[in-house]
Amino acid sequence: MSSIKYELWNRSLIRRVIDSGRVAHAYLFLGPDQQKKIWTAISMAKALMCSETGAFFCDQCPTCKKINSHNHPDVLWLRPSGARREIKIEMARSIQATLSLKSYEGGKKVAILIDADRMNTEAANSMLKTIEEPADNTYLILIAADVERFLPTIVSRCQQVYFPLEDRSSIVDFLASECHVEPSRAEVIASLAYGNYSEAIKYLDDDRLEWREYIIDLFFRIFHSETDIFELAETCEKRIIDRAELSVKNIPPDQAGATPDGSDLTSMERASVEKSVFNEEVSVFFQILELCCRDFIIYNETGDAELLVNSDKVEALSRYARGFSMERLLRCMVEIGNAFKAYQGNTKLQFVLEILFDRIQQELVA
Amino acid sequence: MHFICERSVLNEALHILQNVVGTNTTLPILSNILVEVSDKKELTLTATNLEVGIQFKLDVEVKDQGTCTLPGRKLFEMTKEMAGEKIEIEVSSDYIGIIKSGNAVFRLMGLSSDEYPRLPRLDKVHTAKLTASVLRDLLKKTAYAISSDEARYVLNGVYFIVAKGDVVVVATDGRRLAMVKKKTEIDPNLDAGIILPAKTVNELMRILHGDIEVEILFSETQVGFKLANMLMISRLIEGKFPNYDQVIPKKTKESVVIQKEEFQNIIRRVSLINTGKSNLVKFRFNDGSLTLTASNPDVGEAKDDMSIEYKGDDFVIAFNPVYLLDALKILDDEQINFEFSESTAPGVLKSGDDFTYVIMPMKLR
Repeated sequence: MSSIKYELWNRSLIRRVIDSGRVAHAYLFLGPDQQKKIWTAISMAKALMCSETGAFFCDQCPTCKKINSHNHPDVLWLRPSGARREIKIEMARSIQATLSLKSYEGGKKVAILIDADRMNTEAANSMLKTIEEPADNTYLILIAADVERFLPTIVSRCQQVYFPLEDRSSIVDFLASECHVEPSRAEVIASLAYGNYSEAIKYLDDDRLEWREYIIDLFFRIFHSETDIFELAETCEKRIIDRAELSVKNIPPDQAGATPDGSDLTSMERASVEKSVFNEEVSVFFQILELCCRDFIIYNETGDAELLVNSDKVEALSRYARGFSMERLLRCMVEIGNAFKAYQGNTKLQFVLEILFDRIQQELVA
Repeated sequence: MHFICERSVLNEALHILQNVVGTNTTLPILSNILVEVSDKKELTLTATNLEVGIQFKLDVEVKDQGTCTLPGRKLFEMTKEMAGEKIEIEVSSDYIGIIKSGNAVFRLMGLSSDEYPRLPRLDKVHTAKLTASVLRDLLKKTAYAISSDEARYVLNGVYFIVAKGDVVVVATDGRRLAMVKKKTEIDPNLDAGIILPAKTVNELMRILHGDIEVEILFSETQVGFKLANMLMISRLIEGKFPNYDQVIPKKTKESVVIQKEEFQNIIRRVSLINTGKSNLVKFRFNDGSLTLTASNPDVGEAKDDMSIEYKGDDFVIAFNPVYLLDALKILDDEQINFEFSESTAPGVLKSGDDFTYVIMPMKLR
C-alpha cells in the first residue's frame, strides 16, 4: 500500500474508532472525493479483517491482498448499474442474502456500497433492517457525495463520517510519487483537481489535459477577429462528439451492459447511457471553458500568476489579458453559464457554441 | 493437462455441477468449472457460487497433469451431445481446451485457475453419518415450511440439530412449523446445530437418493456433505434460530385420528372455492364427523364432510388449507393424528413418532 493511502488512513477518524474497539455496524462516508472514501473503506475492511495481529493491517497477508484486489469473498461490493445507474431492489436483496450467511472465510464481513445514494426507494427500504441490525460480525460502509438524496431513515441508522478535500500539496505529492507524473504537470493537474484525488486521477486516465489545452487555445482563437466562428463551433462540436464516442466505448461493462440479472440492455436503455456520457463530456467542456475565463479575469485584474488555475498558461494569458473592463469579462462568464443552460434545455450543441463564441467575440474584440 | 475418461461418468458429474455454476456477473470466473488433474489418475471438478460448492473426484486415465477452468455450461452441453463412449480432453498452456469424443472435436476457450476461489477448508470438523434416503426424507418433510421473507433471514433455512444421537430438523415461516426427529446411530456425544440455507437444502434433495452413506462434516462456518466421490460444501446462515420447542404445544385437549388420504382430498375439494384474497377453511368437529366449509363472496360456497372417530364437544377452527396440504402431501402414512385445544390455539398434526407440524389457526369471522 502506498504511503499516501496509509497516511490518509492514519489521519482518519475510523482508525481511532477501530483502535478504541467501538466500531459502529454502519458508516456513511460522505465528501466530494470518491477515491479518498474508497481508499479509506478498503483500509477499514483490512483493519477489521487482517489475520496478522499487531498493526492495524499488514497489507501482506492473503486476506489483505485479496481485499486490495477486490477478490475477497467476504468483502462485498455493490455499485449502481443499468441505464438509470441505480441500485435496484434485486441487487439489495442479493447482498442481504449473502450477508445473512456466515462468512466464507470464518471472520468478519464487510459490505461496501458505492454511490449508495443511487439506491432507489424500494432498495433503500429493504436495506433498512440490514443497516439497523446487521447479522453478527457484519459491517456496512455506504459511500456517497452527500446526504441529500438519502432517505432520512437510512441516514439516521448510520454513523456519518465526512471526508474533506485535501490541500494542493498533497495532491502534487500523490501525483509525483504514486503516479510518476513529472512535477510541472503535477502542479497543473493539482490546481485543476481542487484538492480532489478522484479528479486528479481523471486527468491521468484520459487525455483531459490535452483536451484542456485545446479548449484554452480555442478560447484565445475567438479573440482573432478573422476567426470564422461558425467553423470553430463546428469543429469544436465534432471534437466533443468524438470524445463522447470514445468514452462510450470505454464504459466498464458493469455499467454499460449489465442489468443485475445479466441480460443485455434494450436499445433505448443503451441510448440513454450514451446520452448521459455525452452530457458528461459537454459539461466537462463548459467547466474547462469557465475556468479558463476565470483565469483570464483574474489575470486581467491582478496580473498575479500565483492565483491562476491554469498556471502553465501564463504566457498566453499575458498576451491577451490586458485592459478589458471587468464588466465585459463578467458578461462573458455569464454567457458561458447561459450557454450550458441552453444546452441542457435541449438546444443543439452546435447552435449553442456558435452563439456563445459570437457573443464572446463581440464583447472582447473591439 | 490431458486425460481420457468415460463420457457418461463425466457428463453425470457435470450435470450435478450445473446447479451451482453461476451466472454471477460480479465474478465472471464462477461460470467456469475448475478442472484439476493430479498425477494419481484422478480428475477433480469443482464448481461454486460462493454459497454452495460441489466437488467431484473421478478416476480417469491421466496423460498429463495440470489445472485450468473451462466454461461450465458449454462443457456440459458438449459432453451431453457427443456420441463416443470415451472422451478425451486436452488443455494447452494458454488454456485452450480440445475436447474429442467419437468423431466430434471441440475447441473451448478456458481461463487460468489462479483467480478461481478454492473451496474453503473445513477446520475443527465433527462428523456424523446418515443414509442418503434418511437425510433426504428429513429435509423433504421440513423444506416446504422455510420462510421466504428475507427480512427474517434466520428463517430462510432449516435448523439442523444433532444431539444425543438424535437428528432434529426444523423449519418455520412464523405461521407454521415443521419438525422431524429421528433416532440415529450417530455418536451421542456429538452436539451440533446449524441453519442450512434453502438453496443448499434444494441442492441436497436433488442429489440425495438411495442407500449411499452421507458423511456430514460440521465446522464453525461451513458444512460439508460427502457422498461417494462427491463433496458438497455450503455456507451457513448466521444467527440464532428461534426457540422452536416453545412453539410446540406440550398438551392439547383433543386428539383425533384421521384417514390421511380422505382428509387431504376434502381439503383440496373445499379449498377450490378459495381465491388469493380469501384463503380460509372452517373445520367443524362434532360427534363422529368432520365438516369443512369455505365461502368466498366473489365465487360461492363449498361444504364437504368425512366421518372420524371423535367423541368430544362441538368445535370449530379455521386454517389456511394450503399450509395443511403442504404437510399432508409429503406424508406417506395412512393415518395422521390431529390435535387441538381451542379455536385460537395452534393445531398440531402428527404422523408416525417422528413428525410434528404446528399450524396457527385463522381468525373465525
